[in-house]
Order: sequence, then structure tokens, then C-alpha cells
Amino acid sequence: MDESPLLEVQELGYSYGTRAACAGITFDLYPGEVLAVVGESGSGKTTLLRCISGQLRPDEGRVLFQTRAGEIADVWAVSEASRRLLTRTDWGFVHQNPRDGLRTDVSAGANIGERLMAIGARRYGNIRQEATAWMYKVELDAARIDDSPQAFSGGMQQRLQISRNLVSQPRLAFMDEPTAGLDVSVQARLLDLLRGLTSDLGLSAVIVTHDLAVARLLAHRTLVMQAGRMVEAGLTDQVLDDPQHAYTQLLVSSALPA
Amino acid sequence: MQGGVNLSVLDAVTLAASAGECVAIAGSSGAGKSTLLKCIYANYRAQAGSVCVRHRGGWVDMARAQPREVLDVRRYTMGYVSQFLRVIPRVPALNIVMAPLLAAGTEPTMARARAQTLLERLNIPSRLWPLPPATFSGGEQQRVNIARAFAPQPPVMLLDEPTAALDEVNRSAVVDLIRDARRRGALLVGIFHDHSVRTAVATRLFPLRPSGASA
Ligand SMILES: Nc1ncnc2c1ncn2[C@@H]1O[C@H](COP(=O)(O)OP(=O)(O)OP(=O)(O)O)[C@@H](O)[C@H]1O
Ligand SMILES: Nc1ncnc2c1ncn2[C@@H]1O[C@H](COP(=O)(O)OP(=O)(O)OP(=O)(O)O)[C@@H](O)[C@H]1O
Ligand SMILES: [Mg+2]
Ligand SMILES: [Mg+2]
Repeated sequence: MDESPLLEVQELGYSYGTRAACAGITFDLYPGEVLAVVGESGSGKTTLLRCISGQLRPDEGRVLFQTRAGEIADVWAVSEASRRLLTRTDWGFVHQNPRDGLRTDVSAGANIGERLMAIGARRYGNIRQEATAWMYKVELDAARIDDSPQAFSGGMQQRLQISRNLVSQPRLAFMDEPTAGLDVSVQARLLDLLRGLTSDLGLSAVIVTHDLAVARLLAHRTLVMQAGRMVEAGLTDQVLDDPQHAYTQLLVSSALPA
Repeated sequence: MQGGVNLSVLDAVTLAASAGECVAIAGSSGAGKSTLLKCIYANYRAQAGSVCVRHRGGWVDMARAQPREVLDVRRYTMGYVSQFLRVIPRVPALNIVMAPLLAAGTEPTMARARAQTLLERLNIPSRLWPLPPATFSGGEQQRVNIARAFAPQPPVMLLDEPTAALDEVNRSAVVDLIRDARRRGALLVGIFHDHSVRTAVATRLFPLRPSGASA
């Protein structure tokens, strides 16, 4: 209970030109915690995720991350090289559009293996075995390990992207709509997988989702965004069962029963 | 003392209960019985008053605690049996019951054994254990729900009509579980519509009147 946060976001803001896409965002995330970010289209969820994961430099605020060594890194104050190292070793990022998170010029297996090699794996046999194991975990046919991701369907690409990001055992995963576009059976498998990784291996995650059922089943805490602002945040079951803000009430009452 | 609760919510309701008790909340439909339990569990945020629970040797006010503290209380101190099972589809019943034990750090072999014992006591046939509960009957799902809540043996348990969907045999299985929990020193606070169940388990009644009337 007295451990310190893995991630601290303080008064973060970003504008495209003069339009603020997100502003005044403050929250923290502890090891093993899953935070869901929900809100309508265009409310700034992807922008927020990119700012806190070292991809888009915010105009305002700070992002602090506790490294494996227990030091606090100010994500946007450290060198570009340190930031890239974090991206490779400590973080995983699942893009809303899988094509943004995959290399289309190499095979599916190489997409998974690449992240392993980035953290020092060298033996080809081991890498291939790990890649196969991960394809199995997300229910991709391992016989297609040498196919190009371009030959995969959208849902398959999404699962490949997730494998690629989780294979290297990051401590923190950023996921932008990881279950969108997956059929319900595969979605359930993925939720179970993610739940296992967070509860058994202590993976922390920030998950952007429009699906409140996903938030309920996976996230300890939920943050609600509207027009770039955080309008409500708290325990997921409190936010969904006892919403305080009018926008959250609308969001919850518009959702189809889970 | 372990497992004490103190609270004053819902128009100045005051309840103090301690380990080894089973308090039955009574009142007409809509009186606020479920709301009271949800406030204790911090599923709803009490607007006034406090809900103080013994946890890790101190007191935690569930109405004011940080989300992390609330989660810690739920993981180690307070269990809740909801009326319906809500779980990730495709997860086998046995794993659902094991999950809270694993989360609290129980070793997997022990967690499995404990989960099996509970499912057995609740008359869930072993052929169903490896299956996800989505296709189970309402009563079977509810018994998986009960097994999951009792598995980690929390010092405080909240029960919202745990036997509503159950037949006679299974009602008595639940009564036995509640009695066992009390014997090991747990505090239980519950809503029991069934009179025979209530008589069998409750050590005291806590009447709740619809707000407006004084409690
Ligand atoms: N590159 C960009 N240039 C200009 N405006 C942008 C850019 N990217 C996003 N925006 C705008 O910023 C706002 C927030 O966009 P963002 O992608 O963060 O929303 P979102 O919450 O992720 O939405 P969705 O649920 O549809 O993915 C939107 O109004 C969007 O039009
Ligand atoms: N999330 C909610 N939002 C608005 N009103 C609510 C909510 N939950 C409960 N209520 C209202 O609070 C009152 C008390 O409800 P509660 O569910 O606590 O009753 P109860 O005593 O458990 O009744 P029953 O015996 O029928 O289950 C009711 O009028 C109910 O409509
Ligand atoms: Mg987006
Ligand atoms: Mg009720």
C-alpha cells in the first residue's frame, strides 16, 4: 500500500494549433493498476495517450515515470535517447489503427520478434518459439507466422500488434481501443489475457476504450473525458454505478446493457 | 478486534457491528437496503457520514478513502456477494473462484483446492468447473458468485439476497457457509428475504425505514 506511483500525470495539456485537445489532466497510476479512459469521439483520448507515452510533446504539464531502477524520470525532460529506451523496454503501445503499430515490410513472426531483439534476445530459435507462443495466446494461427501482416484481417492485425507489444513484458502498456473491431469471442479471450497479465505479472495499463463493459471488467479505475477535460475519475464501479457528472450519467445510461 | 464496521448513512442511519455477528438488514422494498450495502462497499459514495472498517490494524473510512485504499480493503478485508455474476466471458468457473485468492497472494495449488472445496459444497458438479458460467442456470451462476466471494475468507462480508435464486438444498449450503464464516470470527451484513434463512443465520436484525421516517 505504501509503494509509489508508476506514472504520474500532472496538469497535462496539448493543443493542435489553437484548439485544445486536452487540458488540465492529472492522475496517477500504481503498479498493477489498470486505468480506463472513456469519453466521446474527439474528446482527446488518443491525444492524451500519445502525450503520456512519449510520442507527442505536451504543451503543458509533466509526466513522471518510475523506472525499473526506482528512479523518477520526467518523460519530457529526459533525453530523446532515454525516452526511446523507455519505449523499447518499459512500455508497450497499442495503436488505435493496427497499421500504425505494425511493420508491414516484415513477417508476422518478425513483428513479434523485433521487440524481443530490441531488449537483447539473440537466439533465433527462442525468438521464433516465443513468437509462436504469443500467436497462440491471442488465437492467431501459428501456421501464418511467415505471412506478411498485410495479409491479415483488421482484427488479426490488432491481435498481432498486441502480441508484438506484450511479448517483451513491458511494465506499462498504453492501449488505444485494443478490443475495437474484434469479434466478441476473441475480445473475451483478450480481456482474460490482459487480466491475467495485470493480476499475475503486475502489468499496469492505461486503456482507452469506448466500451464501458471493457472498462468494468478490466479497469480498477476509470477516467471520463469530455471536450478535452477530465470530468470525472474514480473507482470503475463507482463511476459506472453512481456517476456524479451529468456527462457520465448520459454516457452510462446510453450504453447497452453489458 | 478484526472486522468491525461503523457507519451513518442514508439519512443518519447508524450501525455498529463487530466480528462474529451476522446483521440482517430488514425493511420494505425500496427502503434502501441494497443502497446501504453498496455504501459500505463504497460502490456508491455516501454523501454524508462515514463507513469505518477495521483494515490492516487501523480504520478506513470507505466514504472518503482513496480508490487504492478502497481496492485494498476489498482485496483483503471486505467481500461482497452481488445479486448477479458479472465476469469476463470464456473464463472457466473454477478460475473465477480462484481469482480473488490469487489476487490476495494465495499460492495457486492452495487456491485451486479451496475453490474446488467451495464449488463442491455449493453443489456445482465438477463437470461444470472447466466451463465458463455464461451457459449455467441462474442458480448455478449465483452459486459461483457466492463461492468466489467466500473463497478468500474476508473478515467482513456483505450479502445482498445471496439465496434469492436458490432451491432448498442450496439455500442450506449457503446457510452453512455463513455460519462457518461467523464461527471463524467474520462479520456478515446481509439482506435476506427468505425468512428461514434469516432466522438461521442472523444474530440481530437491523430495521431500515424509507428515508423521511427516522431510523
Ligand atoms: N493531427 C491533428 N491535427 C489537428 N487536430 C487534431 C489532430 N489529431 C486530433 N485532432 C483533434 O483533436 C481532438 C481530439 O482528438 P483525439 O484523436 O485525441 O480524440 P479521441 O478522443 O481519441 O477520439 P476517438 O474516440 O474518435 O478516437 C479532436 O477534435 C480532433 O479532431
Ligand atoms: N443508482 C441509483 N440511482 C438512483 N436511484 C437509486 C439507485 N439505486 C437505488 N436507488 C433508489 O434508492 C431507493 C432504495 O433502493 P434500494 O435498492 O436500496 O432498495 P432495497 O431496500 O434494496 O429494495 P428491494 O428490497 O426492492 O431490493 C429506491 O427508491 C431506488 O429506486
Ligand atoms: Mg482516438
Ligand atoms: Mg435490494
